[in-house]
Amino acid sequence: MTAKQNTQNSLPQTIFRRKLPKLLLSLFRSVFLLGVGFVMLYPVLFMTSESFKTVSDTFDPTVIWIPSSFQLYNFKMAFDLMNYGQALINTVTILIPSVILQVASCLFISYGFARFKVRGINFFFGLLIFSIIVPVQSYMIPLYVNLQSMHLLNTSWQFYLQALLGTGIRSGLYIFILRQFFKNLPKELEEAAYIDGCNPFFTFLYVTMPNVKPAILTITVFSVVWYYNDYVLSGMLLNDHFPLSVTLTGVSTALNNQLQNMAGQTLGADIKLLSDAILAAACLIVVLPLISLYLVVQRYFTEGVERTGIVG
Amino acid sequence: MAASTEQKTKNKPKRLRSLEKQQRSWGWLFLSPWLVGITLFFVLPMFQSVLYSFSKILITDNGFELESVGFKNYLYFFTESTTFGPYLTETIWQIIPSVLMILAFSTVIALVLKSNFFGRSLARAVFFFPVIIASGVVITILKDQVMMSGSSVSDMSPSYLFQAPDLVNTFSQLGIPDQLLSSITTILNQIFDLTWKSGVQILLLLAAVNNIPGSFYEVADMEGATAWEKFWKITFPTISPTMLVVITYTIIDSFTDYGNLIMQMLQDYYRNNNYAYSATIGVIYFVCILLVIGLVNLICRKFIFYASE
Repeated sequence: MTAKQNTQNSLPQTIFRRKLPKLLLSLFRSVFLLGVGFVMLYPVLFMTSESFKTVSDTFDPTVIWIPSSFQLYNFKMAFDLMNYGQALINTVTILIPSVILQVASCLFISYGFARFKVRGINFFFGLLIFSIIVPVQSYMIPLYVNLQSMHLLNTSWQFYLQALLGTGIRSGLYIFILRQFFKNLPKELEEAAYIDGCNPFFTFLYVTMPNVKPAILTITVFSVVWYYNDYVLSGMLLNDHFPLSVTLTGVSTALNNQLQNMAGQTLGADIKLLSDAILAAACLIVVLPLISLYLVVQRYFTEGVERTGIVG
Repeated sequence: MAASTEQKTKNKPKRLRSLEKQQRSWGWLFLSPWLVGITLFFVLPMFQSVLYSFSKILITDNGFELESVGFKNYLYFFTESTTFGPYLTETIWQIIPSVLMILAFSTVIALVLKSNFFGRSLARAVFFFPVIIASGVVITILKDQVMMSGSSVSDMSPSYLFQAPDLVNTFSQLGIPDQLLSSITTILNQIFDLTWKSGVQILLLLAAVNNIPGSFYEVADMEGATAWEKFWKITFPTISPTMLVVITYTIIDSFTDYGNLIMQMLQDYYRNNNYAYSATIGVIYFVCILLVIGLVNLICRKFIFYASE
């Protein structure tokens, strides 16, 4: 009797106890993710929508996201204003060697920080933290003068050299992150290699490196992104051959000048609106290479983040 | 007798140290590029910059000359300048809640993204998005010029994600006191910024969370641990080193953000060629950052758990 009652009760009970919380959880999760995801994608959606708009669209209250007509005028304007092709080439010439050098040097140096008790290592580590914290602007002028005296100013070599010596853009941060990664790896594997007569350099290369692949991938993506987006350093250390990011900072003023000239003929008071649309188009074509690169690498990137090392 | 055993125990670590000593020279090799780089591109310029902060810079035909003025520049900011003090305290006070919120937010997101569900890879792709754009000039331009200016008809302004006027009205009609309301709205208005600033942090934490071996959780399941216990006994200690990185990173990132008041002040002086004042702000500012980070690291050290130690 009691057993029968139990089986009768258990069906709705299991639904209530197991399925419902799970359902609620997944519902809550989807709503949460959708909400935050929208916030994350908002600027890109906004840029895309804005850059296709004509002046009349921006006035039209019925047009919020989808423009009434499909036109590429804004893109053409932005493309010409920035001299896009040349700027992209400039970006790539700085970016690729710097990223390779930076990732290699940061791995090498951070291994030194994590594994060897060199005299004064704590002092050096303090110096590392120090170099991360200090904003570039506070030592920009002496750096500029020094680079000038080394005849490196206004060349790509200044970026390569800094990347190679572990002082490229945010190198300190990567060294810090990687040191933490290395410290979390068990020492036993390396000790086994030492006992077998491997020297520290080859141990680093053949034993440690294969185990930190996810970290390498993460650092590489960061490095690419920050070299691509940097405008403070390249803006100050270069006089010409500006990369995309620096060109974009100048677009707004160039745009206003050009539109002022055209204003008398066609546009009148709508300058501000048109310039916003063109600016949005300029922003979009600047981030487009980075986004498309990301979409290609994304799968390996997330997999790399996911892939467990031998930790634990 | 006792002395000899003591000597023996003393001798043992000495022999171990000699292996360490052997490796020391390798340590120098690993550090050597950085030592050169940091001297050339950081220590020297920094030293010169500190010199600037103690002097007056006279621009001549071939470069510039320094004229020592002692602590005059520092005195200016601490006694004469009416904006520097308030700006500094405001910047520091703004950073504390934002660091906590970013840490909590990115941990939650990392944990949510860790579990298996439909559309997870898409969700991940979206959540790493801010990393790509947020550091660049694009977001600055978008925020300053395009979105903020209300490019559509004024009341249809698409800048609603940056402000919460409707919510504020609703709250004030509900009779919530003004002080509480203002603190709520400052947090609400920051949500977009905070979400966008936590891209890197989500990434770091997700990597850490994924590095926790599944066997830990299996054991916990066998023992009948609840999700709450599993978080505090397994997840939290294992990702705690990464959390320290995240906290430190967030503090540095918010301090060196070009949007904050002190950085704007520094840049204004820099643009007006007032290098001495700019250098002085830089020096004062990084001493403050150093203090904050040192303090935070001291507090956090207790909670950090290293697997290899």
